[in-house]
Amino acid sequence: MNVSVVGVGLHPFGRFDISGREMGLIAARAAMADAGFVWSDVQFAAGGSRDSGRADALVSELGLTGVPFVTVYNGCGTGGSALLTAAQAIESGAAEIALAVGFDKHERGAFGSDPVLYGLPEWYAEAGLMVTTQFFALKLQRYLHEYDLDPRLLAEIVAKSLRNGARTPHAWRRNALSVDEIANADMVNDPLTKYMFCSPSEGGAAIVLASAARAKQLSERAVKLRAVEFRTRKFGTFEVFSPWLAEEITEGPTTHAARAAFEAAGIGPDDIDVAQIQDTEAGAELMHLAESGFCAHGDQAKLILDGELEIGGRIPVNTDGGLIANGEPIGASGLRQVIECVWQLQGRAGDRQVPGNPTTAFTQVYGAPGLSACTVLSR
Amino acid sequence: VSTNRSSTTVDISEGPTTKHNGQLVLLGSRCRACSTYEFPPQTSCARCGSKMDATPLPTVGSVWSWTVQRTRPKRLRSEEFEPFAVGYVDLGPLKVATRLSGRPAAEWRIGQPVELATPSAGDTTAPPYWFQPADGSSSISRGNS
Repeated sequence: MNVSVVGVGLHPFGRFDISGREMGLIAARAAMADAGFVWSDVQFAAGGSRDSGRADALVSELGLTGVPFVTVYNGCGTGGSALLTAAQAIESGAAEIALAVGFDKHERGAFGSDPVLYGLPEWYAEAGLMVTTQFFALKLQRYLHEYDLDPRLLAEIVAKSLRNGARTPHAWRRNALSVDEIANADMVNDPLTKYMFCSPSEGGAAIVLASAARAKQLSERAVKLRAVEFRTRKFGTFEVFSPWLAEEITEGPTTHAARAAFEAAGIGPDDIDVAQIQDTEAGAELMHLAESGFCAHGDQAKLILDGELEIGGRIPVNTDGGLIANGEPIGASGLRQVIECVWQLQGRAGDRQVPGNPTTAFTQVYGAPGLSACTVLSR
Repeated sequence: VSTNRSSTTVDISEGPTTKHNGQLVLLGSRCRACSTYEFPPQTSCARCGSKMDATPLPTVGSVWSWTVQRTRPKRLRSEEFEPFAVGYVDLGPLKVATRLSGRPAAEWRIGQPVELATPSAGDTTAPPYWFQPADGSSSISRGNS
């Protein structure tokens, strides 16, 4: 892909007194300033938000330039969809400068979902079966059983994310907890305790993309977007909001998206220096590590217990604390992952900077009802 | 209700169960082309897109995964809430999502044999179906434990 990231902007994640829309505007302006652009330079935009209004309505404050602005929504994967749409506009030649933006501000507590929007009957929700946290637990419980993994690994993952979050100024949860505190906390959906889930939160994120040729003239620190691949589920996968599962369970959308992204980029998981992986809960990180190709299914214990996922480890994962420490403003979350990788590759990650001048990065975002978007980036 | 009625008349809003040989069973669908089973019934197959026919599903299986729902789901029909077990039950040609009852919620394990159960007539607070131990160890015939 001949597309580069030339500017990034983030409104911190957490709880704030301003609207989600304002956080989107702040992030978009920060990204344009980082790139050295003004709004009228932007030739194409894409963005999304679940609860804070239409992304394309940002033009009334950014400026009514007539720019084509596509509003996207793909659940928790919305940020990935915005980036894909903007990147493809550049790759196609339709634009030389494009903006991807996402923002959100959610109510407290787990997301409630309307079965009708997913083509599901009311009784499924009324019986107490249409609950995202329940799905995560059911998928994880089966996974731990099939691969004989110790549930304590989940607490190790969260402890790592919170340690990283404590070093990250834009993160929401900045207090480290011990593995015991996490493992022994109140159970929400067995085997997941309350500290093992991310919470809906607030924030904004924006990325300015340019054609590789244009980026070279603009900035020495531009980061190449080598691949962005998006996949929905194939038959037989185990996804959220499923009243039934097939006789044989097949590889999920992350496996396919990650494989396609590495193929398009021409490098493999072993070449990656830093990664941000969707950790809606600790089990998601556990499973997505293998689905993304960083280890075989069932081999996660070594990565986790030997410290390979730590900042300074072989393949640092969720260096800004991931969703566990940042919470999830749905529209912005997938873009935050890419921004963190860009900062890491540019050496701008402050106290959480991965040592050794990382040159390659990977991101993976997953959303309902079964989709995944992965990117490969390099300096 | 005939189980071989035309697939185009299947209305999932009717609820998950249907009368079959005098007993309430789960109503699913089976693909005419590739024999894939789905639940609740769909008119076209998620695997190959061919037409599906409504069909009763097996009533016995084993626990494929489980967890405990310890917070009240936002759309739960019943006003009363006690933590309850949920899971997927492997029925052979497919697995179905279900409440699990008849055993303390945290004591379910993968592989345990289970059978379908449905509420008695007029019971409006119970879920429309659930699975319970099929090995005779169930101490109650209905409940949300």
